[in-house]
Amino acid sequence: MAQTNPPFMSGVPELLVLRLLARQEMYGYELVKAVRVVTGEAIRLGEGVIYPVLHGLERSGALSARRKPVNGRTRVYYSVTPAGERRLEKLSSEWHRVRNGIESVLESPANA
Amino acid sequence: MPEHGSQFVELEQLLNQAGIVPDSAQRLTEELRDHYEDRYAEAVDAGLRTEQAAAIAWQSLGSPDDIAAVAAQYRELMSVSHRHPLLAGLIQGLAHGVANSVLCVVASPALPVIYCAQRRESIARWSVSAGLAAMLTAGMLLSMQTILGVI
Repeated sequence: MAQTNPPFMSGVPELLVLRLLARQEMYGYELVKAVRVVTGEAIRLGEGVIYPVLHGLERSGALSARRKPVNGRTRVYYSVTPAGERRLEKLSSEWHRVRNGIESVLESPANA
Repeated sequence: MPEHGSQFVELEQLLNQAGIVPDSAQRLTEELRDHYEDRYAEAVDAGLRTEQAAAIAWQSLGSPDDIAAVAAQYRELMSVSHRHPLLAGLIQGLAHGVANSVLCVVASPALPVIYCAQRRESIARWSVSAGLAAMLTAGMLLSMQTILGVI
């Protein structure tokens, strides 16, 4: 079974989901494939966990969902709400802060 | 397509046991099933046999415990009793107390009847004995009255 990313990456699924859905409306399976493609397979989510993330974000008002009939099946498409865009902005700035902090540590001399 | 129907039923039960609201658990399971079908179709298109495709599609969903654990991180998906366990416990205790009180009030008139019914043999024996004693006493008194009346 493919390795998924370790637990310290909590919060990352929400950031990725909101960022990708801010570009275009997608359904769950499409979103999982997009995460793999856009991250160059660097991030592999256990595919099933995307759904509780989507439902949790929908319940908190960050996403909206609608059912669309596609080829005889009904798919649930998700898109970002204005509240979701504010949440994305907040998560992005937190991520940049963490990333900059880690880069500072990695770039500092070994004995500093 | 080989079915994993019973495993989806177990998954929904697991989500319910984890405290996910039933509507949310049902919807999660439905979308996971859709995802499974998409994954299965992709694997078959890639040339895999149906059993292999089904196994890969099921494994791609990941561990049901992981799915339940992620869902449990979202309070909005949890039932009221899991979001507020103390309050739910108090309400449940009150409800039991009220139910027991009502039961006592309804049952109390029946208690003497139940008591007597449980001791009916003993009561029957004592009743017969008391009846016989009363008849004997009445007979003696009648005899005495007759004798004293003659004298």
